[in-house]
Amino acid sequence: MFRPLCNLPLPRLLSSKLRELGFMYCDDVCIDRNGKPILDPIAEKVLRQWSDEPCTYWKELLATPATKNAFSHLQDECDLGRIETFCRSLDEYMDGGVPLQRITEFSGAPGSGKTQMCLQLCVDVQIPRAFCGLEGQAVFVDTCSGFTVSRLSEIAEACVNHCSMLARDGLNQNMLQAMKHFSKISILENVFHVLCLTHVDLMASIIYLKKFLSKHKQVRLIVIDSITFPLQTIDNSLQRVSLLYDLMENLRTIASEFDVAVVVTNNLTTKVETGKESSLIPALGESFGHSVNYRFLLGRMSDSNFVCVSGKNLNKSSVTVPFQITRSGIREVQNN
Amino acid sequence: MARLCKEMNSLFSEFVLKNLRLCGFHTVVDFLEENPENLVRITKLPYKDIVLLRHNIIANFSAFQSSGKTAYNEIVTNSAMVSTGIERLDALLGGGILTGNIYEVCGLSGSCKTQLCLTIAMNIALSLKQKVYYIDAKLDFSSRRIFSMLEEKQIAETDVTETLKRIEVVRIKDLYQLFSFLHTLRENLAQRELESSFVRVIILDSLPAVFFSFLNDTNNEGIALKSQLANTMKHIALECHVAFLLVNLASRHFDEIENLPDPDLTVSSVQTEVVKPALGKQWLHIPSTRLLLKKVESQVHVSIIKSINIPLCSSCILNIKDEGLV
Repeated sequence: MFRPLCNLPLPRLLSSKLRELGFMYCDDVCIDRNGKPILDPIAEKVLRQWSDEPCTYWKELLATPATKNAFSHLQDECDLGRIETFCRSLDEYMDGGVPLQRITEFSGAPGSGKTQMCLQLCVDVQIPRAFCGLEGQAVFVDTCSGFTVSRLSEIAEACVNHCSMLARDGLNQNMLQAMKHFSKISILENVFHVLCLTHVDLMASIIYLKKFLSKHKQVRLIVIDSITFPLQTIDNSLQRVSLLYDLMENLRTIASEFDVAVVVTNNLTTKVETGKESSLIPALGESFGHSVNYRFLLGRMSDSNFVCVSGKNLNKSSVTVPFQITRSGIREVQNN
Repeated sequence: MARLCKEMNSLFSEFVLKNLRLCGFHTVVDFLEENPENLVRITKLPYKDIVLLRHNIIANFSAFQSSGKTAYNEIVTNSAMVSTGIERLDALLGGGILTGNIYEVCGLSGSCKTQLCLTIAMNIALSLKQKVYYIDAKLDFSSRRIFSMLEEKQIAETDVTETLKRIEVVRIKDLYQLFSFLHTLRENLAQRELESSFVRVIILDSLPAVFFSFLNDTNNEGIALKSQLANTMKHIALECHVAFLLVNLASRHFDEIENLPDPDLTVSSVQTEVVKPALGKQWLHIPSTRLLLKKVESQVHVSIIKSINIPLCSSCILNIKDEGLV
């Protein structure tokens, strides 16, 4: 069976040019001559207009993704870094926190603690290695101007105080050493804020992130707060879904290539059913729910009491975890 | 290969090919469609040679017919029924997954589609000791989940390692990588057919992850690629005697059903919710069997919504347990 040329991610102009010259299949372009694949001279001439090295260009186009058996995947998965949320029961449920290389969604009504969770994660990702943290940096892609520096510094201060207390009590030299470079200012310096107003901005900044991350190797977390807001302005539902999947495809590539966790927040929408009471479900439909790896629903019970329900987790069955949002950030509920 | 080149026949000399190309004859089809008199004029070859060339090309490129009996024998000797390891599902499918076919699992998000695929992959690797390919398009494959399923079944440690090593995972970023993988896989399977490499099932999770970014394409490229993917998979399924298990999404739709005009009713139509598999009507005829999953608390209802050999609407209920779906 021959592979048609239109199965390749070729620029449209190039593929129509090749078709005009009678090239239909990959085997037409690359001829097997005595067991050695050689580019057809005419095709090579055309390819040269797009790339200086047609042979390598062609090889890259046909590159097959590597296979890996589940056993080595298991080792990789166990070594995967995780970002603590500072709510112990949630961390335990997540095997240590929000995983790197995966996409995690937090959805909830306004005021349900989504942005708080994101800010908390931005701080927690920076905990020094001496404290078993990731010592990373964070990128906060802000689409609805919800990024509050004053709140971030409050959470940062609480985290620094907590760590210095641990270091002092344990008299651990490594920890004390690490505390010298871990301060409120350093935390604020290591959070990169990107403001996006439209879906075009968002798409562009995510594509740009690839470049950004190859320079900033320390980034371990990308937050998009919220992914719904810029997409809701698109009227055409097909266009919305296709843009969303483009975004997710890029995010997945970034997540696995640069070893970062991707956290997105989502709003709620009303689900109307005939004969039943309407209910609230995460926005952007089934297709979005399909494309994330972990989904959590957040809700506010009373003043500072919140609750987190896991909506999608392949490894474990669904649970409900209560948590608190205090002045110092997300915390476990204290049972008195 | 469809383009005329000198490797095809010794009669295609540089001179002949050059003349043909100048007149716009690039491919085999172009050559066969033109009448021989014109070709004689263009190529300056004798009429006899042109006829010979035509015969040669037809013999090399056309498909062969074979009788129903040969086809039947071929199927009987080469196809296999692969047990999914889930008793109730096997009973529903009439024994298991039949090679040469494409199966599809659909359901709303979070309806245990991936869970089902992981369970089947584990069962095949564990009990049948066959290799399974798992194509993962959205980073959802979880070795930890399979590991915990095996632990729950109390399998010896060495067997756990062996089972995990039999599941080959490939992560793809987009549709094009999927094509590259399938074509390489086909070559590998065809080569190893003699030493019986025991690959019978290939799982793809999931279709929407690779197709949805083409949804709003003005050139309808997605539709062409969809057909090509279906074509490639069917070809591999038949040629290499493997079965494909695909994951597809389903979504809720609201259909308006017109009511009979009733003076007492102020509403003339009622909206009903329908769960429809994604990818549209075009994809409907690709899978030979389509399963719809519906999660109800800790159970999954599996029903057949399309099949060539199983009565429609037959269904079974699976339990979600720590050791997978049972």
